[in-house]
Amino acid sequence: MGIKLPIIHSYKRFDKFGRVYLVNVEIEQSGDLKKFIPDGIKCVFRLMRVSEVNSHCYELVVLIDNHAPYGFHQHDKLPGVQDSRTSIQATNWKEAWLYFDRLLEEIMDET
Amino acid sequence: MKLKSLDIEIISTDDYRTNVKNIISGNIKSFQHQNLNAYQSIELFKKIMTPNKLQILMAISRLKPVSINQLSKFLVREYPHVFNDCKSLEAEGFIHLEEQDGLRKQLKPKLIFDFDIIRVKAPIEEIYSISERANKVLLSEARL
Repeated sequence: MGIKLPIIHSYKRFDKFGRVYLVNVEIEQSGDLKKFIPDGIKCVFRLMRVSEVNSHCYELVVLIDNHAPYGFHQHDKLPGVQDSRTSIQATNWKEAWLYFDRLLEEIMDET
Repeated sequence: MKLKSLDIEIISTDDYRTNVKNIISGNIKSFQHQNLNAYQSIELFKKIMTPNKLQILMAISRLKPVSINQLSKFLVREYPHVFNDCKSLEAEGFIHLEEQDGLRKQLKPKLIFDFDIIRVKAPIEEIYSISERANKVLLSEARL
């Protein structure tokens, strides 16, 4: 049986120090081949965590998405800088999600 | 009367990661977790879903505030605290903050969908009544 889109996942977990993290995954068919590269499927992968500055707020730690003109890319200087991007090795949503999943575990292991 | 439920799953991190790998590899016969709102533990859910945040959800459902400012007046709480809680609830997937056109850009809080209850699918299932309709059903069944 094939996977039907959309896939909307929200998962909350602790790291090993008890800090709260939110994992948000949104994968949906948009039909806009120009806006979402390469196949019109909109992908957003986010990792947020409770801010050290304000424990009532979350800060964005990882953001991967695929809007034009970049294709699959990671905002690589979060949480401080929103506009810095670097391409990632992914040609579809599955590869992007695998990349995001590996990144999550690196972050969880380091924190 | 059928109530709409926002379901919360409790899944260990290992099980969640296995589920993700199964989705990516296509290695599943039935896809149970297409739309998922899950927590690592019931303790984490209760840490995140504070009484103040539950009150906000109830107020949004029942009183339909047009702005966070109005919501904070309904709740008799300071605006910055209500704003922070609303931003958290948005990040956690319970509400959406809709920008309103106008002289001052206001944010209108709305439930992610018009759910009546939050159902936490833990070994001991817990139900949180959010809407007025849910309360009426509960009171009617309890004959109160």
